[in-house]
Amino acid sequence: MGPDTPPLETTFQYVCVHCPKGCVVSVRIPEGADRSDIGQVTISGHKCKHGVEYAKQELVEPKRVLTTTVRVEGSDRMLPVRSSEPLPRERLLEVMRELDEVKVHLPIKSGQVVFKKILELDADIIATWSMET
Amino acid sequence: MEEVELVIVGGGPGGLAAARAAYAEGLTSVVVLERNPELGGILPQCIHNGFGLQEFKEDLTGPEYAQRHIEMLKSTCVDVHLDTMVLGLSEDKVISAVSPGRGLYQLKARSIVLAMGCRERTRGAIGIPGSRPAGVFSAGTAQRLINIHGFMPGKRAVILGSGDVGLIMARRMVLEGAEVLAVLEIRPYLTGLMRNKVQCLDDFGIPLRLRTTITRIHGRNRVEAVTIAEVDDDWNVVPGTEERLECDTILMSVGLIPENELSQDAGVELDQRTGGPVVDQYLQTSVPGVFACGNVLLVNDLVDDVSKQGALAGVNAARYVQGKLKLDDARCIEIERGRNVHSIGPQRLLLGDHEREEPVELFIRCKEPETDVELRIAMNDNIIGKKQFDWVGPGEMIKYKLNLRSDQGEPIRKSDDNLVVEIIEREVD
Repeated sequence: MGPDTPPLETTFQYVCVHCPKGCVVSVRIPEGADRSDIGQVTISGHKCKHGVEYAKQELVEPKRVLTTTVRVEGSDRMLPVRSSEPLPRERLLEVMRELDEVKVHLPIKSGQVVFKKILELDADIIATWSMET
Repeated sequence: MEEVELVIVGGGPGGLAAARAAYAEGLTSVVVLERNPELGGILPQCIHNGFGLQEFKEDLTGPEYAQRHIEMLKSTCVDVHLDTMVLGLSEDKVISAVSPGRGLYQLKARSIVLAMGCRERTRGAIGIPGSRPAGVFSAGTAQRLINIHGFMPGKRAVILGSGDVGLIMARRMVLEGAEVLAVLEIRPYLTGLMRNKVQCLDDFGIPLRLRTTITRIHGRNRVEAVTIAEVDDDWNVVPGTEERLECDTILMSVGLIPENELSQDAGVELDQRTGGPVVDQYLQTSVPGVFACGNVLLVNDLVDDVSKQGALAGVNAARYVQGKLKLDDARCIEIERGRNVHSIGPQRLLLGDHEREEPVELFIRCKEPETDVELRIAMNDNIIGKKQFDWVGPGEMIKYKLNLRSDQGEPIRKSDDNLVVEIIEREVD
């Protein structure tokens, strides 16, 4: 192969994490195409539409739902929380450090927002457990 | 002594589903005995998502899934005793229990549902040599310490076992600021879900080392290091492959064991392979009126299946109390395990009134991973069920709804008595 040879098409493979099936979704990007140009990209291997969405996102900016815990004022028990939307994978640890300082007040209901628009991302942190005392 | 229609031992997803189903079926005195200060079983500490995809078509965290079922139970008259440890179950269904609120007391039950779940295999049980320093935890204990109590078990960890609990905890530790050096798996394959390997290990650059185990633990008061080594197909150490990893924490994710001490008390027959009671398609054990569901019966992959088993056990416990479970003249068939089948639940079928036989869901675990296979179920050499799989593995439960009628719609004859479940190589066209 010499310097004038055009780039070959590239194939990425992702294991979709949407459900336990774990379909292996292949994404083929033809030579010369931009990976974010979805019209040019061929996706296969998925058993449902979520696999397509997942693969498209992985190509551009991998995102993950964050689940963790925060401290509760007046209780020794931790409060489990989740992000309302998947967050950029590269920023998960940053979000975790931001949540270190959070102390939630009782009572708390599952579904309640604990931190709005964390790190100015389009996602909230919400409680996943209810606690009275 | 108080007499009740149904006592359910365990207030996790199995027990909650059983309680609700028994109440819906018409029982009015149902008591759930739960050792923790809250309902939900293991779910409150399983703060990750992936629960309820089948049942609710939603991606819930463990606590959210538990909360749904706890809320649904609130609209029933089921009595819940928290902080209550069951000490014994007699063969005539007398339950002895203790709690701070009630002290030591007994309940006489007309029926029982066993829903105690399972516990983790320990370092002692697999016999890792070395000193006994602090810093060796089962993965589930570490999960409880972090997620309920807010303590970090350590800073620099090695995880033994590539099952889902180990993978999930690898990610949890890293998110909370610890270093995870590696996940070690003695088998030549990943035993947890591939999706978990991706989002827990690959996402964080944690290596998975197959055919590798811990051969020695070092450290006086606290773990200082482990010696790891590769093993051959018989799990013998390959000489010369030893390596020392400096760490302060070891998480063990080496298997779950159904918690059946109470079942044995009650004279219930156990299956060595599932680790749980031998049951028929009504989830009734060898003791009439005693039923089992969830992880105490067999270790499940999905909580949705635990809830299904719980509901089935609850309905049938209620029917037993109401005198509707008429099985006296039913014929019992033991289900035989064929090629590549490690265990099946239920283990036996009662064939009686064929016209009303409902399909039976079989939960099957294979022994070894295989590709391009067919699950085949045959009664007296007639194939009554089959399903093709691209891939099977011991880490993923195989489920099959067996129709007790043959393909032609004829009921299985009462003279039929040889039911075999096997996994065979598929004929590739």
